[in-house]
Amino acid sequence: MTNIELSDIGFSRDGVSLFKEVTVDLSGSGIIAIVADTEDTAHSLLRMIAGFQSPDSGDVMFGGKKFYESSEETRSMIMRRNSYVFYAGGLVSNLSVLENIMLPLDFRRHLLSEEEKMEKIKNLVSYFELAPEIVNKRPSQLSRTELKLINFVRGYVIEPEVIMIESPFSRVNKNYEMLIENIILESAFKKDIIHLFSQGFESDLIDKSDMILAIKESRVTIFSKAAGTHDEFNFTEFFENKRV
Amino acid sequence: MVPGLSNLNFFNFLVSVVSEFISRREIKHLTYNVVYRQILFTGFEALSIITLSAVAVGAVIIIQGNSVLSNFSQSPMYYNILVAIIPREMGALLTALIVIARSGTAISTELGNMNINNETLAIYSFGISPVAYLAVPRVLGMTISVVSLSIYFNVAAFTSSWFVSFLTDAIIPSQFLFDLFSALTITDLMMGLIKSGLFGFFGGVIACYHGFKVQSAITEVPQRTIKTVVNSVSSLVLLDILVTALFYLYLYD
Repeated sequence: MTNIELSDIGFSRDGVSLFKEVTVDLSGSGIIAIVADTEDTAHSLLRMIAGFQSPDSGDVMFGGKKFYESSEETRSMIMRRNSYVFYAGGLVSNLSVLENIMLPLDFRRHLLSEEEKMEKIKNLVSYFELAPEIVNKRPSQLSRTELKLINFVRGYVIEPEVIMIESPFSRVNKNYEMLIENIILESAFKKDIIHLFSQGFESDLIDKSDMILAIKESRVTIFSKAAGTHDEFNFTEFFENKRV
Repeated sequence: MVPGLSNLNFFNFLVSVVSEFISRREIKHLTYNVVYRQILFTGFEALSIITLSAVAVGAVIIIQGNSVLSNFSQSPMYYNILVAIIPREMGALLTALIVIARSGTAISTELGNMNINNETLAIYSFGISPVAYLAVPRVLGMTISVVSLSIYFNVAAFTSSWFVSFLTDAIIPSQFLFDLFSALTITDLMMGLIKSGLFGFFGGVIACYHGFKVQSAITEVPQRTIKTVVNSVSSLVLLDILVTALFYLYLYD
């Protein structure tokens, strides 16, 4: 399993500190929730772990290597093992849905035959209860729910070591929330994929996660099952009813 | 935003495009389609407007020349003027201007919108360099297209000149090709090819550079598109002067 550590991370935007002195070892945790009273703050930390936003101080360590101090090649090698599901967008608009899913697969798993790739895509599309013909459409022809689900398909298709998900239930039809939750739980515990997700509101998945990084007033508090502090976290109480 | 990409200055971006082109072996198989689509859009779909421009330029040179040169018994000068204007200057310059107006703006807009919609970031998240996957094939496609369209422009403009000469009795049609090839040298063709290659390359790099500069607001897209046109046209004119001056200094008597 991939070792991920955050080492003394600090980040400000427009002079406002979003979080500081974040030091935590995420290794070995199946599902990790990053929660904050604003989605933007939670997404910012997730994007930093994904390698999209360098911190003002500290670094993200993958397998003991400092990500942001590494060369482009090393970063690329680390990123190839991970996947990212965007809150919105993220599908290349001038490619079909199939080409969008194929792109990371062709790049990272180019040793698979075309038949094997198509089989993987077909299985995942049906796993997410999408019609097989959806792969022939363009992203602009998809509903918001379909866009999000295709983002998930693209994330899982490469069999990542770590999958990072921005607001897993946002922009998704209510009927699909349970399906997404079940798929995340199954992938985390059966396939040994680390799941990191960021969210700005309460959900069952936070309760089912192994670790919670709760960001409030730029401080991060860690609640984890391993330390026996997981059950102390209550979203509404922690954020003092800010989002009720 | 892809880390580092929006902070690059033009020179560093240029170096990045060239180095990614050289070292892109790993993603070459993914970019064939992007290059093909770029050539289709920039080259093939521009054929009608290039044909129209080339035919007009070829015809105008003969019509204007006929009204001036024949009065001074300088008809053989037609060929020198045709060669000086079409392959040396207008073939590359006019083609590049048309391509920048059509495709340079389209590239800048497309990449700008891709930045806003997290598409560039998604490509980066796969471990693929956005410069290698998005910029290099577009620059390559644009360079190939401008060079090919310039050659096509020259042929279409000469054909049009011949046809108008035939209609106006300005010169003997059967002599046209012989006299034209006597006036045309390899150096003239080289000058046009070098210019069109440079125009296509720099036009593509400038369009991609401004596209990647779009950060988060949709209002940045038209602003960057305007900068693409202004910077491309300025650099085109400067490159044209530079190459022409170098050729006249070192290769023409």
